[in-house]
Order: sequence, then structure tokens, then C-alpha cells
Amino acid sequence: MSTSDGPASWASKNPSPPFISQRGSRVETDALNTLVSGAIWRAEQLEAHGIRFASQAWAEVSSLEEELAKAFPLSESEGRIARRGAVRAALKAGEYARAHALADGYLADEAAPRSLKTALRKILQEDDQAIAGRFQHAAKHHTLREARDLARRFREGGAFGLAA
Amino acid sequence: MRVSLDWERVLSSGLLSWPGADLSKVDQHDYNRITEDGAEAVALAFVNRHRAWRVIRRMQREEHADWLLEDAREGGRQIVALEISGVDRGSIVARLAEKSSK
Repeated sequence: MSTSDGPASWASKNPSPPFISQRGSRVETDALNTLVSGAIWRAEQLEAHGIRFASQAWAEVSSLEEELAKAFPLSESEGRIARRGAVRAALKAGEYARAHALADGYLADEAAPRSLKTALRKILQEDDQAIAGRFQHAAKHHTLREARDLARRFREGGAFGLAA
Repeated sequence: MRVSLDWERVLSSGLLSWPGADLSKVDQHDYNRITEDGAEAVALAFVNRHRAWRVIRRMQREEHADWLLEDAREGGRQIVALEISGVDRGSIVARLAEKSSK
């Protein structure tokens, strides 16, 4: 199976677990699918109960989706699902820079079908709108990039972190 | 409990049973979640028994399906997106129409 290189490998600077090869055999993708199934369940449960550790769980989901995206080509539905999932979960984790880097890489892939590109752009736009809605005052006076930075600082430092 | 199934317009009936649970511990669980998990377990077992569909993975909520499965019969491999839904009372018709429109 082919792998997706380029900017999408931005997040691959973190070493992969040793059992995951770049080519992804059937056994390895089965293991990844099992892991991502559990990770999605945990993340959605934590999110539903408003537990703050949900962002960490979504980061785990995104990493696993990214590995699946490397293992499955764009021509397979599993590859397209994984690419969408990697970007979406990174946004839910609050990893905005990583999400945009992943999306840039997937969008730059010449083999990417229009439907995938549209879906990825929609995921990013919806997140932009969600941030603008959450920070309405900031959205009136700052760009979305600035609003994202405010969101990151709020997440990391709380309300007092914004004043720092 | 007795169940009836409508599978491709063929009706059948049977019994569904499961191990008993300690009622003092049931309250510790999210009622909606255990209902959904139970329904998913039944549905996945059913499609495996009747269609030999195999679970690949769970999907994120925004993918508009709960599970990705594969149908590997007859040498080929087809991907199946499975959405599982239900109501605890009344007719399923409205719910089915809503889900189908998605």
C-alpha cells in the first residue's frame, strides 16, 4: 500500500509505536482499527460528560487516524475516512496547527478526490465558525488565527492566562 | 425477550437473552449509553450471523455511520457503513426516515 508523504508527515516527527510499519500490513491495520475504535469511544464518552481530558483522548484518536491514513491509500474509503478523522480529531484536541498541517498535506495530494478536499475544507470552516462563535468579542476585533491563539492560551492557562 | 426481525422484507422471530446484571450496579452506568451499546452489539452480531459482515472499525460521529464493516464473501471485498439507531417506545418509521435522509 502506498503512503502519504509531504506536509502530512508533519506530525510524524513523533516516533510511531514500534509495531506500526510505514506500509501497514493487514495485522497492523487491524490493530490500529481496534485501537482507534476504543479511542473514539473514550473520547466521545469524555466529551459527552464534559470531562476536560477529552482533548487528550481526541489527540490519541488523531494520531491513530493519521497512522491509518498512512496505511491506506486515497483510493480506499478507509484512507479517506482516516484523513478526515485525523484532521477532525486534531481540531477537537485543540491541536490547531497540527490539524491545519495535516489538512494542507492531504489537500496537496494530487490523488485526493474533490469530495475529500471539500470535506476537509468544511471541517476546517466549521471549526473556524465554532471558535468565532465561542469567542464572539474576539471575532469582532481579531482574525480567526488570533482567535485560535486566544483559545490555546485559554485552554493552557485558563482565564488568568489570557491576562498574562 | 422475544424479538421479531424484518430482514429484506422477510420476517422472522426469536429469543434474545443476556447474562443477568446486578441491579445495584446498573445505576452506575449511563442508561442511554448502555442501551446504545446493547443495540449495537445485537446489530453487529446479527449482520455477522446473517451476512458474514466483519467489523473493521468504529467511526467518528460526524461520519454519519457508527461502524465500518467489510463483506468479504465470494472472494471480493465490499465496505459497508452501518448506522444503528432505534427508539425505546413507539414506531420506528419516523426515526428510520430521518436517518435515511442523512
